Amino acid sequence: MPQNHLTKPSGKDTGSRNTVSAAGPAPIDEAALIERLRKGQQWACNMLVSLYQERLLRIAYGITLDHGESQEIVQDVFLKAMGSIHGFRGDSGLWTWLRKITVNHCLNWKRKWKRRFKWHHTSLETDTEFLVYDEAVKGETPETQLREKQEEASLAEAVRSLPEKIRVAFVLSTIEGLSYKEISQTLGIKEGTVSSRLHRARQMILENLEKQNKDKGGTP
Amino acid sequence: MTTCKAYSQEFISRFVDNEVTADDHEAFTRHMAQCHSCAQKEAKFRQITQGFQQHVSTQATAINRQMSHTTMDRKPSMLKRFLSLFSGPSGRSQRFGIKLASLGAAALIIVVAVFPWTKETQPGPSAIVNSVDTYGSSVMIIETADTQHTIIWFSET
Repeated sequence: MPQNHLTKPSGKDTGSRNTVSAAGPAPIDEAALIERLRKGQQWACNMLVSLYQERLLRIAYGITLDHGESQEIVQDVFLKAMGSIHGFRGDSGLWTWLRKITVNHCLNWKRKWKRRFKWHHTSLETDTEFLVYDEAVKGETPETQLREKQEEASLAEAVRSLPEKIRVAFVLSTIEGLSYKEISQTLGIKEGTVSSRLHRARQMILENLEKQNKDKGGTP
Repeated sequence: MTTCKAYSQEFISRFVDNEVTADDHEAFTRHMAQCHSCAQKEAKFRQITQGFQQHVSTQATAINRQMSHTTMDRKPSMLKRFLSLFSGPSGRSQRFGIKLASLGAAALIIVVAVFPWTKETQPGPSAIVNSVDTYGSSVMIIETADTQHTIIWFSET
């Protein structure tokens, strides 16, 4: 039986058939990592964070669209994962398990009223957060960069306006690249519902972008 | 913008996600070459996906970098540094440190118990600004100690 190896996850995976791999010349066995996590070894904890932090941040940020909250959520996910690693049965891969915890955390995050207020509250800094001129980007004028950043901010604003259920499906599809079947399994809904939510997401984003353009007096 | 009647917008969304059959994929690709409306809708759906992927990727990388720096820059806590003064290579100095810490804690508890330095909290109001007694009722205007709130207290007698 081939061993399940750890690789820095980059693309689409489905968990159990995922070959996870470590940032090093020698691949690390997922079962060995889990075993070491169960023993509470610091090395294993560091490895878990090193392998999955950025990818979990993509999901958390995609759903919350908030730097601070996504940081907090991912830290909570690691704490929960390390605390409940003994209960991990290995039915799915480690990544699938972590992803599910993250999605659940993000949904719970939305239910907390204090944070809910923050969600509806429009920060004055929100727009400027994306509008930092990046000198590292070669061959682009500041004007081009500014326009791109503004478009990015508008898109983020449009995604922010999506209802929670629709946004989660959209993030799992666009950011994680999951198939409709995988999304339906993760969220416990039918594939047809996934299809309609994703279509609705795109439609609503387009409408929101057109509205933003109209408000700014531009052309759609 | 409306699409043509041949394909629904949900179908185009599925097409962008590669959730259509090979035959449908081929047919729609051919259709787009002739139908500007569907081609435009498909392009917009793709732009949304790519734009959002790029945005999230950039932001997540920045957050990750920030988190990694925070972890690397994190200095040991004052308590750990204090205890490390006593945690030499020999167990003797460690035991000494623990004893010293215990004595310090005991001394602190005694001092706090004997000398209540903390300011006494005032559960009641700081002042009754005004009070009026009439036949059948009383009214008191009270000002709270810390927050300086005014409370109007009414009672039927």
